[in-house]
Amino acid sequence: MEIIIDIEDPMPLFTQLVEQIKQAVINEQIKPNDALPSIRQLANDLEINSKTVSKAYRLLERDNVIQAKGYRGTFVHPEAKSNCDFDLNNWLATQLEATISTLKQAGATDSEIRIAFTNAMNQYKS
Amino acid sequence: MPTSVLFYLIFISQIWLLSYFYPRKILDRIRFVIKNHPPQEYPKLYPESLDKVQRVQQIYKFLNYIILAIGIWLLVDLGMLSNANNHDNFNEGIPLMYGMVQFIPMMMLEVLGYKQFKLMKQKDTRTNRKAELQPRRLFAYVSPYLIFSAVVMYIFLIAFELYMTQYTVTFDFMIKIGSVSLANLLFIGITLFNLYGKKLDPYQATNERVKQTKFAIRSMVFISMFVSLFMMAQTLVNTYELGTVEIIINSLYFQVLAIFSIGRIIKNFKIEDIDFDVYKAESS
Repeated sequence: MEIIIDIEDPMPLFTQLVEQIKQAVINEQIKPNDALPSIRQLANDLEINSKTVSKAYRLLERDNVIQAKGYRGTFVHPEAKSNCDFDLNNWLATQLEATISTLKQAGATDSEIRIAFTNAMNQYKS
Repeated sequence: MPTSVLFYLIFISQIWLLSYFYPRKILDRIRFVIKNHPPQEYPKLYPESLDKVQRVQQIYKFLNYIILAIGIWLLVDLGMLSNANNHDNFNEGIPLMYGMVQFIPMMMLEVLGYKQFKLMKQKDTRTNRKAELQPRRLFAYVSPYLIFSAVVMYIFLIAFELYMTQYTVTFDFMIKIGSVSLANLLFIGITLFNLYGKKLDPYQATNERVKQTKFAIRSMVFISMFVSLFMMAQTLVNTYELGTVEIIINSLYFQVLAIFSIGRIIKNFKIEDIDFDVYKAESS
């Protein structure tokens, strides 16, 4: 299974990696518990920064598409295929739209919503 | 057969193998590539001009002829000045020093080859990058038993040297073990580079890379085992003062190194089997 990235594509490199690995899982080109290359190996083969690959792997791990098992390496998550169907960004947008719609129906203005959102984000930071 | 005659035969073999036979094979390979894969059809293979390649070819040929001539002169010199029955006249360092000189043209080709790959990378305008989504694991390229044998050989060398020095850590012992350890670290470094490092040739096909990695790692393992054996042989020869045997071992050392490195390349990487299509102008 080969992964191909385009360094001049407007899509960020880490996004290209994430999308292609997810697609490989969906198409069963890589199966649950299959080993994946190390960050260093993939970065060297694609001649990109290892931080880019690291970011892609972090996002895939967050989405439960891959699992890092320490010195043993990185593997495809046992439930990767079903987890690939879940798009976090899509879900985030849907949730926010629903919340904003509720707030506007209650009479809140745009600036009030923005201030409340910023305060809520700051609370999570601290 | 008297050891001096045996030495002459083995030294002739060293001169012939490293300064005539293998250089001729390498020059044949270069000629084959130039003839069958010219720059008009395979421009990516020639980041600089064809003239540059031919110049390097001539320099390599010339250097080997000079070294061959030196070898013949050494042989005549040893024959004329040495009494065949007087083993003390042989300089034990001759095969070692001459062997190191014989490897110079090969090292020159390696360095120039590395520069060529760098130029190929600079001229590579492709924006697509490809990678296999499979990890490269050591034991996929070399048998674990071979690695185990090399490790056992190294440990046995340490035990053997300690036994020969009656379990005293002498300065000689530290130098010997230190040198072999450094050599093994170098071999491990080369192995890791082949497994996880960047591709030197930007156009190399995946299957070619697999072949090359397998070859490189196995060569490192064999050479590691051989270096351990050579060190033990040296210790035995020094301990029992086998002067002429040492000179024979020194000569054989370089020949075996050449067989395991250059010889294996020529045998396992038939030039006709290499995928040169990746160097064509229209290939992606």
